[in-house]
Amino acid sequence: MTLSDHELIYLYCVTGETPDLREITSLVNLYWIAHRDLCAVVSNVPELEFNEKALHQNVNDLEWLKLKVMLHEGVIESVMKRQTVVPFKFATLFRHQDNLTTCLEQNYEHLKTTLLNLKGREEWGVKVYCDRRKLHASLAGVDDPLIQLDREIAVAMPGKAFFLKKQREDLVRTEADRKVIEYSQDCFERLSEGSLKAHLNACLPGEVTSQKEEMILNAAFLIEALKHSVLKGAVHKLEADYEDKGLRFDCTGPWPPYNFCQFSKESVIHA
Amino acid sequence: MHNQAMQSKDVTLLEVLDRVLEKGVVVAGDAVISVADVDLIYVGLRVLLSSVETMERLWSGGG
Repeated sequence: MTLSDHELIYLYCVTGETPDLREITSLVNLYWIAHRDLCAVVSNVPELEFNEKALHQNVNDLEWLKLKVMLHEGVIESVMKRQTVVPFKFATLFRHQDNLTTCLEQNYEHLKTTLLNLKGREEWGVKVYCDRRKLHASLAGVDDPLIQLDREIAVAMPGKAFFLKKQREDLVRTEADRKVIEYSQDCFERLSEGSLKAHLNACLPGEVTSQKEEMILNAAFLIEALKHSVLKGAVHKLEADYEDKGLRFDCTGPWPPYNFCQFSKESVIHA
Repeated sequence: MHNQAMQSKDVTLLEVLDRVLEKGVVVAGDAVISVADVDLIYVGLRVLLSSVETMERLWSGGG
């Protein structure tokens, strides 16, 4: 496909075999660029829309961002139905085809190894949310320091009881913070047991998730394809164990293995 | 089998953004999503790559 001066090459993913793009070409004008036995799935995008300045503005336009990000994800998911893919991040762009093939050449061994490691495997994500009120309520009568304080409050004079109750609020928060760490570690460890690889991501803040619960775990797992029932089983077990403590589990997949391709900005830049 | 699994997946924009952006996202208010600085790097005008500025400051500072 000819690349005009007004276009950039947008890279979606790299595969180890010729991809079948017939079914997905309607979404966007996809094509592939071969280098040795690797194939890069790409499309040409307008330079005016994706240059640095435009991207800065465009990513702030929710409708634009949603459309482009979903398209990015959609293309990769379509390709990975048939092939093992190394997915790239949103807006990975190359000025010319030469730049892309240089990148493929310089990262050839790494890409081949990654493709081999990902063959027949899937990425799944588990996010765990915590309802603080439910967690706080679950501590009463179970948490030792709290039981002790509740006993004191029960026999205290009104004045003293008032201060003890204030003290109790602080104690509940401290104990709950401790529990959140303990519970999320337990969840991560138990979910990792049935996985080939596990990856811990930063929890998204409440302003982003727009959930009333707080995110306490944001993890990704690499598992054997079609064995997601093992991971789901572990999630169900955790749900049963932690429901009364205010934890909610969100398990999604299969995703393109974004978290298991250590093909970062740095490695692309070297091209 | 694959399709069945995909259907059970609640593909929210957030889930996708959480994965495809280089580092993270920010939302101001209830509906407006603004990605933090998109860090575009030209290397000898040969490679152009975008990523999103880390939001670790928000996570560590606001969390």
